[in-house]
Amino acid sequence: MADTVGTYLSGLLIVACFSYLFKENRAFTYAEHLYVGFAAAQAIVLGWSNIKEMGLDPLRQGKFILVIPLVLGVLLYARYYKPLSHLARFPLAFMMGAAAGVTITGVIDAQLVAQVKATMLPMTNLNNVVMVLGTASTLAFFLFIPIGKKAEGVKAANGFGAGNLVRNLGRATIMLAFGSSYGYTVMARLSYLVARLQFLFGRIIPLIPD
Amino acid sequence: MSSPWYERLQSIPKPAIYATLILVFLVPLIRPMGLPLLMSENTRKAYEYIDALPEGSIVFHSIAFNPAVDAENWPQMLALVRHYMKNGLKIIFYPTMQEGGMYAERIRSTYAAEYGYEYGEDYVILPFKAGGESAIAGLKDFWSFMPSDVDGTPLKDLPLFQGFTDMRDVDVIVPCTGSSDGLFYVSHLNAAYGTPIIMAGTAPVLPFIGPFLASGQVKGAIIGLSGAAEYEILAGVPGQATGAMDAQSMGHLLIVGLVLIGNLGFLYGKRVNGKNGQNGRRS
Repeated sequence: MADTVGTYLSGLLIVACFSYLFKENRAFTYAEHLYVGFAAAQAIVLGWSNIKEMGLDPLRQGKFILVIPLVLGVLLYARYYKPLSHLARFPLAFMMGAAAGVTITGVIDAQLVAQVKATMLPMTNLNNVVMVLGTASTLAFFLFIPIGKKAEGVKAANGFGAGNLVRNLGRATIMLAFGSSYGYTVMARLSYLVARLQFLFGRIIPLIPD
Repeated sequence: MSSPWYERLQSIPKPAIYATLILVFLVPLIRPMGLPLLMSENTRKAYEYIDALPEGSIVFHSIAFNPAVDAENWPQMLALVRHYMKNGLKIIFYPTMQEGGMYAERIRSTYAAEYGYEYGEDYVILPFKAGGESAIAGLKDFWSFMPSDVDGTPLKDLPLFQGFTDMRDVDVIVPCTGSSDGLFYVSHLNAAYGTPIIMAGTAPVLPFIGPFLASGQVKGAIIGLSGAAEYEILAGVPGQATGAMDAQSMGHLLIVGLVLIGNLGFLYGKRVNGKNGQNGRRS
């Protein structure tokens, strides 16, 4: 019963959200407010259950070391009380330090050394040529000094002669990457629409075959 | 006076576009057209890698998505899990988003029995740990970081973990994600132990993982709903994604058509107005 009510309620809310595509209306505003309210409530519940399960419960079982992160967590709120606001810097500094420590160890090898190695390719096929030229020219695009020899009467907008060519190639590579990213984003958004239609016309109005 | 046709092509009312889009999606969903599906190299590599794993190999399946993106990630996860179960692989589910746990529970309640999978012996669900990247880096110290499963049962009491020393015993890591979180596994576990990684992600994730696919740090990838459909076909487990692909293809065709129509109006307007010294764009 609860499942059925939930399914129909979801269907109604989906239709209310889609109604915005045609015109802003009360149904959409109601769905929007409901969403914001639920999202805020869920964030609070999830946050509290994290604190409880990972901090308070183990503390009760005798893991007293967890007092340190719990106190640091409380100190984050000190910034709202001016005489003690400086105390909020301690947990922030701890978080920044821990994040930097955790990140740097993995990033240097996996995202720097391995990636640089992966672009050192023999120029024996078109793929490799595109990869090497694309990477080099993209990096050159971010060099803020003129590259190449100055030809008579040429202004130093991006560089001179060959420098201009390299930067333009870099810009084209970046635009291709952005275009591809945009295309994939459109594809994802359409997938979400398909899923909602599958739900509406599969489970609520059973028109779509199984 | 009505505006010329080339200007009207550039200002088709939005409600008309949305209504057409919904109609174009609905028709193939209700009456599937069976359009052919191109297999991408990334999906094929992912399938071949998983398919070649011997029975009993351990798959560490990370769940880093929530309902906002499950339209793409859930069909991917389901196709992958069915393939693991078909091939008798052991599965460790690890939600790195709090909502991720419910997808693992859905597998436990609905799909595991279909393949005769026993909890604790063939698959285990680990609890969510807050911390994002830290919760993935922490896996390097597995036993102190993860002493029990989602139900609170000590992992050392579960048959799947008998003989399991640390993450080096995992044969492949499969992050199923709606963001670039999967790359944390590359930074921490692939870099430390060389554990192979197969990525399953929403479509916008591909540009982030592309460089790692090219470098071989990620062995294969299932991208978007199309990736899920390709995987369903390759693994012989047809599902929700395959049924949606006709609609997706028709929707893309419509969008390409609209882009062409808008540009046609713009270019023609530019030509006509150019003669009168005006720009072709509508003001």
